[in-house]
Amino acid sequence: MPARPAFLLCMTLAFTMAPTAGAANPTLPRVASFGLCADQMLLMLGDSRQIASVSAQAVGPLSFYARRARAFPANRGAAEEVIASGADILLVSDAVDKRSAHALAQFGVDVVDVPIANNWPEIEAMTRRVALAIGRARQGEAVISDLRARLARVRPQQPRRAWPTAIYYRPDGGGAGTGTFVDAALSAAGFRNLQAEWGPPFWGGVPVERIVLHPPDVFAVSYFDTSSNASSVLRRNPVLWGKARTRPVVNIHGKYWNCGSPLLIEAVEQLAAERERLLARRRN
Amino acid sequence: MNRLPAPATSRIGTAPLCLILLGILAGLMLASLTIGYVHIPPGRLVQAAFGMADPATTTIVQQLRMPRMILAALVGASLGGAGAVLQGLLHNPLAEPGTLGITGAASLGAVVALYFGLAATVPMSLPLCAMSGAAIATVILLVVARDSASTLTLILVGTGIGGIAIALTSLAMNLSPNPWAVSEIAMWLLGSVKDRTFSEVWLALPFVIVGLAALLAAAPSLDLLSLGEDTARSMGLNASRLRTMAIAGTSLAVGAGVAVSGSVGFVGLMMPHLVRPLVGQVPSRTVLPSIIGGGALVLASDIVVRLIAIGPELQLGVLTSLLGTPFFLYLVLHLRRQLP
Repeated sequence: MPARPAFLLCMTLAFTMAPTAGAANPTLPRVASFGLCADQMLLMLGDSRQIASVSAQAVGPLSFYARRARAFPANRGAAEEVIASGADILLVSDAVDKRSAHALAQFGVDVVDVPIANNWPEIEAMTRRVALAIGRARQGEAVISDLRARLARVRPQQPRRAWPTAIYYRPDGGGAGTGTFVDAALSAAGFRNLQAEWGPPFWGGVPVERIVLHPPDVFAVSYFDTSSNASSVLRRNPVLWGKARTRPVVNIHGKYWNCGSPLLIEAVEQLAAERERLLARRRN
Repeated sequence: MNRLPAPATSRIGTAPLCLILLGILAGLMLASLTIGYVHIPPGRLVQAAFGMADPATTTIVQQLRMPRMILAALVGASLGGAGAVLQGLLHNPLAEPGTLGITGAASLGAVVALYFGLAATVPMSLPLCAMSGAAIATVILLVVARDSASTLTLILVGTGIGGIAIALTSLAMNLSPNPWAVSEIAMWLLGSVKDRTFSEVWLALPFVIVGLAALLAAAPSLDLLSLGEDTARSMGLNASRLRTMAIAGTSLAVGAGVAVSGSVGFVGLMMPHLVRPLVGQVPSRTVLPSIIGGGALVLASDIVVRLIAIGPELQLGVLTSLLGTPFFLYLVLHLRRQLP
């Protein structure tokens, strides 16, 4: 049957060339997303034919899927746009004003929250829930098993007390203690997060005084790529900068830990590589 | 109603001015329906307004653009009317709803709902908490207004309430568990009527109507008060009743407005000053034009934030503050020149 490959090709073309047509695949719901974290999950799990629109941030510097996002219409977070696009489901990030989502829920749009997941079980549960909601459960399981495999690959062999220490700083001076996805990433990569041991928990920062007394083996920093380096807390504070200059500073791209999502594994792998370098230097 | 002769500075009657402003308001209301995030041609827009277009377009026009238009006008009318009455009541050209701390207290109520996560689980808790905040401030103000004879005390107490509200709002932001919660509170404080629905309209409307009625009822007595508190009292003015009406009216109208839209600054300050050169210095004559004009001003601002088609939508309070602060400075400098 020589006609068959041509028929398949035509079908493939028909599917790929109608990325926004609502009738392209009747079994998959159409999905729009508000906010960076929701965009990341939709772009990670969604089928191209089902993505109605993503936020403008999805093509920005903090988006891991910036290139993929360019193929889809951008929304400005207004309910009108979601209704006009015919979306059945709205994925909405934690940080986004819930008014628009609340309005949409009144008009029959299924609103799915994408909370900030702060540990690996939460990340898996969130991924599974979003995948199920948008009809992509298999894709969700694939992402989760990939995440588990990659985490296992970098899992540290040494006991915890032998791990090098790290402190995380954001440009605004905030850090990450217990109960944050940054802490989960540092532990997964085999770093002892000193802020988790000293406090404060969550997103406050460690006082410089403690760093002067007990400097960490490395400083992990992020979001410095999207904010001015010169004005960051590390540079602004001469005492802190004095310490930081004598230690490796691992700069994690903001797009890897924009949210607590499976993307965090990218940050973990970067940190784990840094740890290997550090341990190799120690051995020599 | 007119107990005082019209001063020479009056350039236009109150009635014609109100008609002109109503015309502008009506025009802006229509314009507001045509502007949004989705282009809808005029023909379809009319069909949708009467429920005869496709369901999506009808929902957009009837359930999103109409409530947004109504709320913008209501919020502006409340602020304009309250500003006009308070400037007359407090003999202070810089008075506005914020002066009495009502805006701040309502905002604090909303921030409490956001901070404790009530707003995420029960969306209506946010406006209800904001109204409770306004109600608490009102009770304090009314007690002061009844017990104290001085207008100055009222201003000082209002400033104090506003200060406490700002302090507690800052505390909530300071204690926020993560940076995202701070941004949510900050954005809400900047004010917006984006994506409100009729449930918010029905919540605010009764309070705004009663509040505006109280403000209009208080207006005529303001003229007597402009002769000085003692003279006014000797002419039979019941000053504490006037204060009660003005404070209750402001709380109801502005409190309900803040509850659904966040705080929209400077409209209450600006509007009476824009109207005054046209109607003269008689306080009562500024109230109705300020109500209509305030509605038009906020509606126009809400149209502008939607017309700026790049980046995230500007919050309404940001735009009114951008317009209002230069005006405020001008006012201060202008008043200084007028002083002997």
